[in-house]
Amino acid sequence: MVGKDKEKQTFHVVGKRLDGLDEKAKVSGSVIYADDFTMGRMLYAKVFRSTRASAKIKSIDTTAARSLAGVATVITAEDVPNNRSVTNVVGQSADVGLLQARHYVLAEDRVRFYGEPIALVAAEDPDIAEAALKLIKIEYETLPGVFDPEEAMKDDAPKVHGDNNIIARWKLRRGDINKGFREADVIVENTYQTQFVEHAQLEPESGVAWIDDDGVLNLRVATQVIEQYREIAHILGIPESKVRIRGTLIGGGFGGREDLTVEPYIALLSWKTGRPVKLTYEREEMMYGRHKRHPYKMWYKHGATRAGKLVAMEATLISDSGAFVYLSPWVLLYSAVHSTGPYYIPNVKVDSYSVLTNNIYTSAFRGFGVPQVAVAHESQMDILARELKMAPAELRAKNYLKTGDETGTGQRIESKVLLTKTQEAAVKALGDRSKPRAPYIKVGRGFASCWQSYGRMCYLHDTSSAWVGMEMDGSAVIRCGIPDLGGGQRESLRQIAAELTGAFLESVHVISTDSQVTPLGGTVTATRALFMSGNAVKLAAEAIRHDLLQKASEMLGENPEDLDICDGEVSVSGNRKVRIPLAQVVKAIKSEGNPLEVLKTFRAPTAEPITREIIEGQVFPDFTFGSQAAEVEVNTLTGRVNVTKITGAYDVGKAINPKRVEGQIEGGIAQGLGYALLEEFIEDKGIPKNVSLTTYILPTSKDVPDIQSIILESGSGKGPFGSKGIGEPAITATAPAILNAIYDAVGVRIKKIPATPEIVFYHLKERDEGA
Amino acid sequence: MSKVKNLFRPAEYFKPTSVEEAVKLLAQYGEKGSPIAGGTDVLAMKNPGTEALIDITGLGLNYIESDSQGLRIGATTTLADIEISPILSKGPYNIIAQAAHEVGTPLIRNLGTIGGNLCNASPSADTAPVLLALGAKLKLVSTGKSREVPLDEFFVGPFRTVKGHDELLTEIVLPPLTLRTGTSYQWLTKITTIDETLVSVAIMVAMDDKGEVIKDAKIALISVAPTPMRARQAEEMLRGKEVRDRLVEEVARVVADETSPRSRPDYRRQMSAVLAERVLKEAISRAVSNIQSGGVPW
Amino acid sequence: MINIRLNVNNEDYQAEVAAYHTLRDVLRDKLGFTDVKNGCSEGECGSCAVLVDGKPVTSCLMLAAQAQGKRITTARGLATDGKLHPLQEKFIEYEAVQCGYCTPGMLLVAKALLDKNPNPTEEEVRTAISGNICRCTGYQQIVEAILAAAAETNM
Repeated sequence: MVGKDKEKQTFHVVGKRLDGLDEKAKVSGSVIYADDFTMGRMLYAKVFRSTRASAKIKSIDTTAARSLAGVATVITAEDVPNNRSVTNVVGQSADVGLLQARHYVLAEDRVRFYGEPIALVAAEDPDIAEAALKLIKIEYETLPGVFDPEEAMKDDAPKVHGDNNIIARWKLRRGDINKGFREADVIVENTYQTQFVEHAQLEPESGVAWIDDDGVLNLRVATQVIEQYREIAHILGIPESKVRIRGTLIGGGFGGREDLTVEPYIALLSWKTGRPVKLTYEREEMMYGRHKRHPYKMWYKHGATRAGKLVAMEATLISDSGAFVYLSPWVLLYSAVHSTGPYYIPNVKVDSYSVLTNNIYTSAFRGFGVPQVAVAHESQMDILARELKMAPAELRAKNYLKTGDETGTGQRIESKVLLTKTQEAAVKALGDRSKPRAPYIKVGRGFASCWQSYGRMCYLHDTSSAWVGMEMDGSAVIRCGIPDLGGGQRESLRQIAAELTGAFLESVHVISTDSQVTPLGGTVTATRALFMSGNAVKLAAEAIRHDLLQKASEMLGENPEDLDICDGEVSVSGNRKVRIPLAQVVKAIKSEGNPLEVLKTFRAPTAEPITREIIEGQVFPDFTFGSQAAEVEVNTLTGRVNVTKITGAYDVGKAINPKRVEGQIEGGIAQGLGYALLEEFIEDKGIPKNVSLTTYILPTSKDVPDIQSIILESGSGKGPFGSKGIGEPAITATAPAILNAIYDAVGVRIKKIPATPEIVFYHLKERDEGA
Repeated sequence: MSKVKNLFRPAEYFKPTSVEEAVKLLAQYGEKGSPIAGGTDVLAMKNPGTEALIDITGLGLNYIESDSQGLRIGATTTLADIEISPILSKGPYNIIAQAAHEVGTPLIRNLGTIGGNLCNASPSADTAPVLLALGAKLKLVSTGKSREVPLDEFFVGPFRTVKGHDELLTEIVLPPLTLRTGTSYQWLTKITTIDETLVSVAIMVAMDDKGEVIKDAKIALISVAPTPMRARQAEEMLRGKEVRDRLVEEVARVVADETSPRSRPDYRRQMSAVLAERVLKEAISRAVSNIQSGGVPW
Repeated sequence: MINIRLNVNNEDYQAEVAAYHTLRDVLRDKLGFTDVKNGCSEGECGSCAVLVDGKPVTSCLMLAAQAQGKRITTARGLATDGKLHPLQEKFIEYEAVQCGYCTPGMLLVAKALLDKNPNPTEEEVRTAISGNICRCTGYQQIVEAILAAAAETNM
């Protein structure tokens, strides 16, 4: 890297479309994912789960299961030292019911959702474990249940926990909402609804636990959060220093492995039996035993002047938290903050509620409450534009946030905002409009703009640590706790370290995801990995670079500012004749007693704890802005929507590796397409209806068209080298872009997703009958 | 390995080398025995009552033969082989290849067989409607006996057929087609491109020598009744008729009325009519023009 | 138990299998080929795909006993003498790999396609891999990588 002036920096490694080193192992089939790992004397675990949505457990008898030959142990709630998980949603508003997010490792006297874990079995082989499950005798007494969040908000609704089903409330209040609507020439009011969605990572939940020679409980598990060793320690009632989580390379995360999954079960079983224990979920269990994306119901009302300025926005959001709280309050907070869309609106009133029901519990999923509100705000903007007889792009351009504007919470936008450019780029990349292939096929186009925070909420005082060390021969080692979900989290760290230390990219080795060996990097969630760990590695590598340049300048007799390091060599920028091997410099430094190893902690911007229901001030470090555009074909005879082209343009600040950024945009779009048109996890009175991949429909290569991804780089992000996150922003705009395209094609506004052929068909009929 | 109740754990595996041997084993094990070819249904269904697997892939039953006597397809011919068969690539029999293409995924089609698809007898058995429309008969063999059952008498309920536990399906036989025959087939999934079938329609129309009067018509559908079905009233409306303007629309409506879908009934009925209209138009046009090329994608 | 002999990645193996074991059980659990993945057990995801005598199948739905005498190829068998197969190289170059879980199955299906049809259209590529779910990439770069591998081999 040369050049001090950020604008004029040239990079050797950062910004290049370089191949990742982990990929070689992946294409060779040599990666050991969680279920690929076995140990000697290993037991196999299975989970006994509730088949009722709301019931008292009258009795449970595990005697027959315990005495089956080959069963090592059966565990129920009374065997768990601390059955009620410590997870407390810090910063929860004091006015709201249920301060403590009560998570039960195993059900005690009551079950609250179909699939709730009740008992654990460990046996010599999976067949015996399965047989043992079937020998557990349980007697239920059905209790009244509640399955709709609005119903659950009523005073006389059955209570899922405690005495209040509303477990989170957040508000936005800006300006004077009544005044705002009085100033409006046009008012648009609608209700939108979204569905339960399943992560459907290709790799099922899996992990192995064992006790090592030092008496430390090890868990080798696919997880997005290795810091949960603390939770496990608490559940077992043992010191935190006695639990070690070794994360694996993960077969897809998407927020599905953010909460505890198999960890408490394998930990308990291993601790009790003293033997290694493996648990891998069946695909069916993945469907009904794990959390889903929150369904939302959203009432939106926008007011705008004839000239196209937004003057007022009012919304009520209700999310279905399912049977347990988990991350629902935070997801709701994200929804509330992002509910305005990336627009400047002077008068805002938002009320939001998250409500317990006896449905499957809901928690983190890529986008974390923002894809839901994006469906609403981008549909609203499209409708508003048509009411105003204004082009949708023009209405957006008049209202996009600009640098210096304040959001609905009064947070000042610090970064550059390239929304108009992303919108234009996304639409332009659609190219020429496709011709309809038959008279009954209509073609339409739509776009949507979105914003999504990257980095966790500021009041959490987020940090990430990383250690970088140079070897004698000029190769480098990074130790960082950050898990790698397949988004290239480790690869970015390599590129950053290689750029700054000058080590060959292939020689930079990353040791990651071990809670007792690698400095804790924090979660891979909230689109924070590059921002936090990237910055931590950057700090450490910069410190090393400083020492390298100092020593090299002595050895070469040049000023440090005139030197550059690249590919194992320190040289004068622009004159490679004056140079010295990196290894030589490293050796010289180390011989003077400087080990050239640096541990750094990056601290994200902080804010005061949120204590009121009204969210105010700086909530997030920053936002990523982008737009997507879609072209669809609607078959008016069948209602089938086929996406023919789709594009996504994002300002990522600086693309550390453009290939990976494109991969995130494309993957996010594919998931967004599924969200809009195909995917819905259905429960009927809390009983799951589709628990197989034949009935829960994922997009295949024939459903997803060619995707064009466009990268814009404002350089104004808070991540390393001015970068911003892309993981979650990539999914947020897809569904509304497709819904707007459907409207353009056939003049029907779908306000409830997924827009399956049947739904679209009946909307078309209604339109025809109304005509 | 422990014997576990309620799990699919057959203890025996046989690979007979002759049909006689195979049907002897089927008779011996009765409903505890399961013939297995590709395995894509047997291993997915995982019937806990199965004690013996009788592998029928070694009996030489994968072939496709066509001559003046008609078309014969061996029961263990894979769907992938049917998809790409040169014999089925053109002409009215092409709808068999099209239907085979719609089953599962390319990976499943390399294993799954046409016999398996029929004997599994799902109300959505993808190869059923095209074979019904072509008047298929099934050859069922047991020890010392053999019978031919018309396919439209084969299915008795969801996943139930007239085939006895001691019988083996060896061959699917299709009668020769008359000169002016046109066939067509269309298929709708529930939601995505690779998904469960919502409804599919296959129609065969045979015209007189001049191509003016419909002599025979067979209309078959799946996923809209407890078993694959024929729309007989609709067929009756076509026999002996000249092709005229509103005939196709009227017949399509009757087709829809004859269906009895259990889930999403209104949408399925409407889509039955939509498909029936398109398929009938195409089948008639192919019969009239006496030119049958491959189908156009929907 | 049935004794079967099969060839995997050009090496002969022998295994004892129960009547109900699937090809995936044999390859993954008995012979250690953990590159044959466990994504579901109903042939829906394609992550267990292997080549049997050159044809891609979902190994979770094929009886182990039927692998008797067959030649199986898994992802570990794609490289020759340590040199990556052109498909593997293109997958890396085109970033067709994110989490990598669908990758072994995807590569094998792609190889079977190119062996049969060395110059496929994009449509043909998408149809060939339609039985392999990828949740990470959106298929874009996978399709591009396969077409690039085809183009390179045909030069």
